[in-house]
Amino acid sequence: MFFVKFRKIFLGVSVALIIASLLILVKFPLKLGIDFSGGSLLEIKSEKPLKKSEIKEVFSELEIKEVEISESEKGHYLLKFKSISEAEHQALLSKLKEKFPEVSQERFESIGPSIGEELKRKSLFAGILAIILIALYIAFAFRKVSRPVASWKYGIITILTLFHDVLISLGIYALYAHFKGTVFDSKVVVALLTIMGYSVNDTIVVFDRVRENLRKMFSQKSFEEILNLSIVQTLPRSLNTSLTTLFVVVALLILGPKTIFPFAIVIICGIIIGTYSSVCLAAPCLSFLKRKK
Amino acid sequence: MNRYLKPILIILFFISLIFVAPDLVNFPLKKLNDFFHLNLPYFPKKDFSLGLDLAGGTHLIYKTDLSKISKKDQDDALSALRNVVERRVNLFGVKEPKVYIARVQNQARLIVEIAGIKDIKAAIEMIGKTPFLEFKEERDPEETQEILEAQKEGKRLDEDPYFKSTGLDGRYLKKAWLDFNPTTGEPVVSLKFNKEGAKLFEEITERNVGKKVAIYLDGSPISIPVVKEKISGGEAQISGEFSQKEAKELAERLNAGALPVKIDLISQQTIEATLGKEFLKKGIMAGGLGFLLIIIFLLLYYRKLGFYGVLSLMFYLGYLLGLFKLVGVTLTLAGIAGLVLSIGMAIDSNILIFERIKEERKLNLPEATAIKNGFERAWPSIRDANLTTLFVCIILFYLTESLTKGFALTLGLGILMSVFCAMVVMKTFLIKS
Repeated sequence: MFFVKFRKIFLGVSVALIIASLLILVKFPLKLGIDFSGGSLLEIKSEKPLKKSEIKEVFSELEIKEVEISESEKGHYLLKFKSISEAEHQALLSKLKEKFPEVSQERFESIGPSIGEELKRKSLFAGILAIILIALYIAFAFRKVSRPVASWKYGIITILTLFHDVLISLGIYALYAHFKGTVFDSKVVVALLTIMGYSVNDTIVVFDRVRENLRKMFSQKSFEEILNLSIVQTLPRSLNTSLTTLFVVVALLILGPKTIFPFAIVIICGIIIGTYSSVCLAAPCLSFLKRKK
Repeated sequence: MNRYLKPILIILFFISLIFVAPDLVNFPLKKLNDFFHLNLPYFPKKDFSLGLDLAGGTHLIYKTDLSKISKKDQDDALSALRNVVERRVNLFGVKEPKVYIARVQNQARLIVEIAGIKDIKAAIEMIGKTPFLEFKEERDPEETQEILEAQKEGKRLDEDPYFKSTGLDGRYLKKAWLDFNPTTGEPVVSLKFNKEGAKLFEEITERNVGKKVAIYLDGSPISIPVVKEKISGGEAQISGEFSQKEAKELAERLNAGALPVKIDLISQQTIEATLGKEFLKKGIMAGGLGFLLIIIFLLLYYRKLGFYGVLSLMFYLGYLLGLFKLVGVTLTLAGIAGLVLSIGMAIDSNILIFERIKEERKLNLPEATAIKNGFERAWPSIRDANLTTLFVCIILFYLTESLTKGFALTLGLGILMSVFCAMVVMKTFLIKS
């Protein structure tokens, strides 16, 4: 009865984590990536090390006042500044080459503010739509289970654990972003949406087992016993699947290109939190919602 | 179980494998051909289609200005714009450029994607420099006065005080060519309008006899002739003190595309091919490492069952990559991430089945029954769990921009394939034995 017995402790831990995440998000708000806020990103490669102050000089000559410079990998510099036209871009490149002949452009993105607004709207819409579809599907899939917990309550809990997973992952990422200077961009949104799918996937497997066990042994065992049994039965699967998924994401983190670092970090958090919530939170919480006999 | 299914699956796997990596067959074939002086045919090669961020390339978004085009003509103008820009980009000799119009609320955007191009700067310049041809007529003197007055006070600065649009522009152009003035012998550019253009031109010249009509190129006048009489037949000439070379170039530019709609670059994403290659290499290495770790885990933890899991995963990768090549899924960096992630998730169905089989074994059932039950009982969970992830993929695919679309597509196809491999491939191999 381990999982159901300690459900209040698990719930407490989760509430604490959520509050901590909210605090982190307030204290270290995430900076929007240029794909959301509009702006330019120029990645240059140089054989020789470049001085930040010298790069800044080039920008001030072109009357671009604010420029953020970071070295992403050895010899790779990321420059972030306001959105510029193609003519300004070419002027900037030729000035840079004049000053540092060994520099070459690796990547350039310039995104107008209107595109950013659009992407913001689309991402929000995508998130809301995903939640609605998932909730509807779960209510449908569990429509035949109504004793002792109504089918829509499975849906509610699934959605709550989804918020739990997304929020805590986002909180951890905000902490990471604060110290590493990364931003909230469309890749992070994609990662969050993937976590949503994963979180629900994980929770559903446990609930499926609850549904099955309720059908088989509702008359012999208490609801709490059935819940605990279902969790124990699905535990190896939950852990193993998380482990295999972690293998590939960690491989991405170690060997993959730096640009997908934030993506990998968010997914890793999501998998760990998602596994925790589906094992320790989702089914134990069902017992809170049980109808009084 | 159908006894033909197993050989079919195996044959399909090898076909897919050879399709993915033709050199597996072509290399030994070449050795054979060289050694025995044979003439065996090679397996045809087809490359994976790589996205901009992996192949190097540029993704451009242009704003279109439809304010001067009436509502009902807008669709025609936009499709004409698309065609002109596509012709323009094709001239540059890049492989499969994508040019399309995207509607965003009440605006239209022109999107150009060019992959595998070395000189991106020249490409952008070429699209941007494409001429916008427009015929304008004189304003009433009062109107001119009014605008000039307003401009003195710093208002209506973007309006041309002397000329106004007639609605006749590059959209109506059929062709342009280098010509010579029969009397002076100086080079001119001759224009031929299409039917509607000819009608418009006739009307414009009719109402402007004795007045000036200006020919604007990219917003500035290049020639302002005085109309002597009504011109029917839809032919016009631009004489503007050109050299022969200039006139020829102008005619060529007008032919390749007098842009029917004004465009303005508002966003670009450009990645050099070298960086893209590095992305690709790193993505593949990460995928390989993840794959290896999973194989080791499966064999250590599930032993004999794990062997079938590995088999299923091999089929999964072989089929999936074959499918990507066959339907021409464009692989982007996000797509590779989706693919790598799907390898981790693909094994989920297998794990669900294995765990179920283990539970059934504990009931002291015969092995064959335990396996059969395992598949049957794991199915509802596999179905429910994968459907939700699939929902998210579908939403991502339809709602997000092209670079993240790749992620949704590879992950989504990967999920479908993983269910197939677990429920069909692995079952076929595991049940009889």
